[in-house]
Amino acid sequence: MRRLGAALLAWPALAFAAGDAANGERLHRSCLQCHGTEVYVPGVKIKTLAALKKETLRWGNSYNPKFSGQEIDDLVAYLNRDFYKLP
Amino acid sequence: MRFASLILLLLPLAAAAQDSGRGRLLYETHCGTCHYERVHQRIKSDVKDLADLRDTVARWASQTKYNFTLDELEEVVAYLNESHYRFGLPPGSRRELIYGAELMSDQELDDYRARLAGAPSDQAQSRIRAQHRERIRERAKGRGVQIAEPLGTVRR
Repeated sequence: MRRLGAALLAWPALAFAAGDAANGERLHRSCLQCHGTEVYVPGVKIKTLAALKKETLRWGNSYNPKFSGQEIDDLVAYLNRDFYKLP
Repeated sequence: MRFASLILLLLPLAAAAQDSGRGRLLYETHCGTCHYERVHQRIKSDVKDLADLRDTVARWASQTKYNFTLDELEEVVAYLNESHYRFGLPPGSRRELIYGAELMSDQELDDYRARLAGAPSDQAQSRIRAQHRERIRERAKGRGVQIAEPLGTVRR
């Protein structure tokens, strides 16, 4: 029972990271129009997953069409998997 | 064993074919190492039609270390036409970065997107973008700030 409680507690953290990195990589082509992946330097400006999501949202809102919530999660999953590797 | 290495050799090609084809792979390998795709979004473009695009691709291909066959040149032309220029094709649905978005409110961004979506033609969209750039430059000037211009077109 206690184990089930722990699993339930961990659930929101899992949901937060639930993005499709493969789709994120595809969506990321829009970003590559202007810059390469050399701008993704872990530990300088982005130190937490929340900061990564905030920065991705900020840029995502500058596009037409805007990136949807799911697309932002996918981008975050890709950026974290390949560059930031944040827990 | 030989069969396995053949599969390994063919894997990248198969992956590219599922996406936008071999033209994209050739472009990314031989052109994308020197410049970003942003070069294909210039407002005052020298490329006015498919013939211009063919000439330009052939001219720049000769600057790379790779010897393109005529078929390969045509594949790159097809990729670029599909992804950027769209001569003889219906308008695409590529995502664009909104100029000076950091100086706009969420409401203004939504309004601008809606105006672009409601434009009756490519020319009308171009006019809306041009007006927008003027307005945002004025705003930046008034606030004494610099608009975050995207990085250059050339890879360092």
